[in-house]
Amino acid sequence: MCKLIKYLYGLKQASRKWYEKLTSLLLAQGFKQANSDHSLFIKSSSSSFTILLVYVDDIILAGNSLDEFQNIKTILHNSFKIKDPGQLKYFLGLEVAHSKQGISLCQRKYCLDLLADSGFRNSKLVSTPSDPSIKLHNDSSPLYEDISSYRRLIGRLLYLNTTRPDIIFVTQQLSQFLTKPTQTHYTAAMRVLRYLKSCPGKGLFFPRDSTLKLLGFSDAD
Amino acid sequence: MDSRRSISGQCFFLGKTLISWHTKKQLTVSRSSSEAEYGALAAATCELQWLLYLIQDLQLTCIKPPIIYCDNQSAFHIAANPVFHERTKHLEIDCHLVREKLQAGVMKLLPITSQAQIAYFFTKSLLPQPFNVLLSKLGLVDIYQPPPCGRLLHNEEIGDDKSSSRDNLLPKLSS
Repeated sequence: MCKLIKYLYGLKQASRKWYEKLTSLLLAQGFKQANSDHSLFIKSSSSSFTILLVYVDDIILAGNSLDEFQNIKTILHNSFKIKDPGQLKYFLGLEVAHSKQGISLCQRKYCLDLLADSGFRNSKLVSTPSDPSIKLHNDSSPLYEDISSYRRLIGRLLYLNTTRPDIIFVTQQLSQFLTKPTQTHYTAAMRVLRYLKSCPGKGLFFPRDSTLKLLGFSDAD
Repeated sequence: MDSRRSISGQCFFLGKTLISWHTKKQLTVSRSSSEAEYGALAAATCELQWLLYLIQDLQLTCIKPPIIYCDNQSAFHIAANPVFHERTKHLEIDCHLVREKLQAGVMKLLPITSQAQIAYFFTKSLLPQPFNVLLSKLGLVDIYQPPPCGRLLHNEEIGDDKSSSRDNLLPKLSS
């Protein structure tokens, strides 16, 4: 058994150590780790309210005090040498746009890249992502040869679900067949791409004057 | 479909913005549609509780108690009181989380007509017309493609916003 003296990038323990280091630094600055989401840190005082969201080594700051922003950025820079790209525009493939009305989130570039990689430049568009007359199941049609490309495609569709609730149902259906995809499943996946091509820029919109009323809808089928 | 298990779907709006959505094949086979609905309701309750914790952590307060809409009457009754013992005694115990949270006043459970049930979007493959109706209610925006003039006001049927959105519409029409 050996004791690790220095935590190098790529080691098994590195991520845990990074998390410990960042967390202890933030806690020392008066941030509180939220119980509902451990990558969310909150600092509130009578004059300011600052939120810090961490994804590995990418950090988003939000709040109402620019002084507090500057303060925490200096502290982070002194410890880790950070880069500050300014106002949030692009984060993990999500495009963020700000306007007076609100903030919009979309994955247009990710979606277009996905379409380009699948060779979808000149195909016909469809208005819905799935055909209701076709129920997907483990059918007897010939197996789709390139299993790994099917899996990769579904993986990318799953990531696209971050801002696209409209394809989540069909993605869920398609991901049931990752072990043995058949031609039918592949055709259905291609239909999703044809749907996406009709509206690659669709995304979520968060208006600034939103009311705090939580509504939920639940259904089973 | 091969496994005979149901699919639960849920979505949550904060104000008029969709903030959380989910589609998942349930873990167990259900013997009735109410059982499947009740299972979906339990999943939705867990998500709601987490959202409430998150809102609390962000030091915000909801103006009204949150509401979950469900279109299955018997799922309602199972949540309200321990009746139908014969038909519900085999339900997973964790599903009764719904009843507990209801009694604690964490949320309200309200019925909804099938036409207004947005969660259908997450459990069914739909024809273009209903698909587009529900899609417009989700409030997705394509900032690269401005909507054509005179589009539908989305979320008109959600909750009690009906009157307010009508009122908003009227002065615009007259001007």
